[in-house]
Amino acid sequence: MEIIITQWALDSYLDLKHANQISAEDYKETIRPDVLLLLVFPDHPKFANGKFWSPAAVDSNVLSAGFKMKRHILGERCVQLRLPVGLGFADELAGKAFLLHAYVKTDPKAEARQLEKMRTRLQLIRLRKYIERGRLT
Amino acid sequence: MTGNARASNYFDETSELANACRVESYAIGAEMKKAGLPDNFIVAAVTTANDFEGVFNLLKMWANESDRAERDAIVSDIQELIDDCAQPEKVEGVYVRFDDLDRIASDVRKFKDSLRALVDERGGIGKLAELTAIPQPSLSRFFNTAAMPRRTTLHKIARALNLSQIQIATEWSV
Repeated sequence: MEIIITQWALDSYLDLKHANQISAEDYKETIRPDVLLLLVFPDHPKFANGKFWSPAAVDSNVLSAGFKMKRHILGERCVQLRLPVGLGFADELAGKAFLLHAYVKTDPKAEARQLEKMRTRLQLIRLRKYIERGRLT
Repeated sequence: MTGNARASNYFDETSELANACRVESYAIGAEMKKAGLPDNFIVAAVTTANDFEGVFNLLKMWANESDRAERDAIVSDIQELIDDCAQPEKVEGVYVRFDDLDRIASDVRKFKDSLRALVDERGGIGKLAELTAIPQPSLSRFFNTAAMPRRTTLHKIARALNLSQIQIATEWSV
């Protein structure tokens, strides 16, 4: 699996870092190693752990190609980090995992908004309307 | 009608369901007008919602929400997605190294802070919202985050405040 860093993911990281929600150490020691597991998706036991990885769903309706990578206690502030990931697309997008954005889980209303952002960005990827900012290797 | 059925039919131009969604979007647009949101924003939101179910669902969230702060957050999210959906095609931006991210965040913040100072000299965010037709909550998010600024937003600000190209120049705009 190739791991694509989108502009949305880059912006999220810049902002979470600026807001002191995550640190460089959090990224290097936790986030990056977790995300790199996507290289061997689904061949790692963590992908069978629902507390780490799950399909994204709104009111029990699964978003096609939408998944969430979850960290329940991260860093000194013990934030619940969510990394929406798009994978399982067809055609030339097959074999690619897109890092869509990242956010700290707060309340159900904010979570619902994040899922609609994810739904829209999954559609934009299918339409090939996105900015690629790098690949994680 | 279930959510799944709606999703599968959403882009069928001829379906009654798609038409019903459009009519609902227009009705929400009328509510947004009453709430004082700018016409340009409303038109862009409703138009984008016709093609993107996620934006349509955010419109519905706005309509069903009574809390002012939450409504503002929804408006900011809708504006963000309007900008995302205006992306004409895939672009391979300059790849960014992890070790450069701190410097980039710092550069972006410095740029936005200096632009904010110019905005404050010319009447502040409220005035800028009137002149650009960008909702005030979206402008507040723009100035308070370290996300890379969109060129379309910068150009609107420049036109509204009569700023020069140099005053809105940053290597990190996208």
